[in-house]
Amino acid sequence: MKKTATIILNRNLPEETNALVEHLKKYDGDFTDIFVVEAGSDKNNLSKYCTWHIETEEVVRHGMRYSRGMNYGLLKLWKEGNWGGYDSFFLITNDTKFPKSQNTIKTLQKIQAEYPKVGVLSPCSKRWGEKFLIGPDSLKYFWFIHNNAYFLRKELVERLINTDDPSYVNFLFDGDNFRGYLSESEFIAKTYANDWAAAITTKIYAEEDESYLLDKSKVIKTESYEKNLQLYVDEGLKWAKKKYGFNSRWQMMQYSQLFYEKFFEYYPEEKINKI
Amino acid sequence: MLVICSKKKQDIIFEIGTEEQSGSNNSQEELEYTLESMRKFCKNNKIPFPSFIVIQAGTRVMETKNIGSFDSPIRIANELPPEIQIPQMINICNKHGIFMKEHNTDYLSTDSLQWQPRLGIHAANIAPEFGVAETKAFINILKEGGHTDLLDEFLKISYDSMKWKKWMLKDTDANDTDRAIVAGHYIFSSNEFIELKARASGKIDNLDRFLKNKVKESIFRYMKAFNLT
Repeated sequence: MKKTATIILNRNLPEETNALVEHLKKYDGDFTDIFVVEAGSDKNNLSKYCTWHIETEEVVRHGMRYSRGMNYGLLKLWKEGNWGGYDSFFLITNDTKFPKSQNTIKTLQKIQAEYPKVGVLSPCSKRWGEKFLIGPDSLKYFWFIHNNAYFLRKELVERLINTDDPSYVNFLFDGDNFRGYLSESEFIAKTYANDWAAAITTKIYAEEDESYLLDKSKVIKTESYEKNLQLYVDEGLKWAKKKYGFNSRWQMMQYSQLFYEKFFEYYPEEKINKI
Repeated sequence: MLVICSKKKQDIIFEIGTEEQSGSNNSQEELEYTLESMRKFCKNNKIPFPSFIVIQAGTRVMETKNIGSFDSPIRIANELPPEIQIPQMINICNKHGIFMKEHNTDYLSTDSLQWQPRLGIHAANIAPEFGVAETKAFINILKEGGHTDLLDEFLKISYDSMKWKKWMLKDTDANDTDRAIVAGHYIFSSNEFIELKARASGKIDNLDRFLKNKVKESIFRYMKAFNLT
């Protein structure tokens, strides 16, 4: 059994998903098992690597998005007894792109072993300003990381999962915030609150190909880019208000940063990785 | 300049800034370098360290809107998200004992403005928004009074100044009037405008007071958001 379970979320983009799976098999095949969650895809639009196909009316109509999709895959692994052998989970969507020839998961596993306090690890993106802050071939801890490609340590996941009546809405991420605006900050806050760090590394890169949503929203059967963005923000703000009484993204940011700062009070030796 | 001003022995506090108007955020290295160099310079010349430094962190003005990341949930390529950029800049300023003045604060939403002091931003640079407020008020009162000839003349002088050019977005859909609005305040001191305004004042009672009040309203939005009222 390999040390990492990679979960890929797909919706109606079989070719792109196949290419992503094949890239990982080629460059990281010895390091990861791959599971594809098909979030309400049409039967003729399934990836040939499909592991689970969710066809409930709601999922067919609306899809799952990152939080619910990843919850689904993780919960399946947990329930089906495939959980124990893995050390880590790599959670990506079908629009993730890796540089050619990059050994992504092999590198992530190596970094995780080198940094025992890192619970969340993310490859940097060439488009992120964080790369200047981190410097080449390095790593820093952050209180805000976009969830393009989270590599999660199992010990952290086990601290956070809801095992009391778990579902794809509540297992790890809070799927009540459907599109996930501000959910990353909540997740990072919980990570630091549970004595783990969240890091971005420039040793490897991952890109989010926004053209899928810009140009292929009809094929995916989802809202247009603009409509999705509007819903993403509106829903996220409503969720933050209902759950925390927060009325702004900045309150969520301060919440997450608070646990970040506290973490270094308890683990001053980790300050070397502080931004 | 700092040395000359200091020699005057007047009670002056200083503000510094690179004012590059590159439109992108200042980097931490750039800020550290500027403040370190300034500290050495002030020490060598025995002059007080500046009180404010102007920093661009998540804000950028184009046309009559703020297109920076402060007000936007979308990442801007090659920039830090404001969630990281702003606290980092404030930390550096606090370390050096200097106040942070946010550059290009114009047109931010009132909600975002309310967060500026809470995030630790000490001051804000606002200019074109107030100029545009005066221009829009002038246009509106000319329209309401039916002074079409004066309105057309004003829009033409403003448009022909071409001062709107540097403020336009690449894919702009702004029409000529929109461009004239962006450039309006640049011509307020020109002879052409002074003469035109004198003619308008002859036709509109209390024109100056009306315009001043409109600018005050615009300033008041900031004062209220910054809890200064």
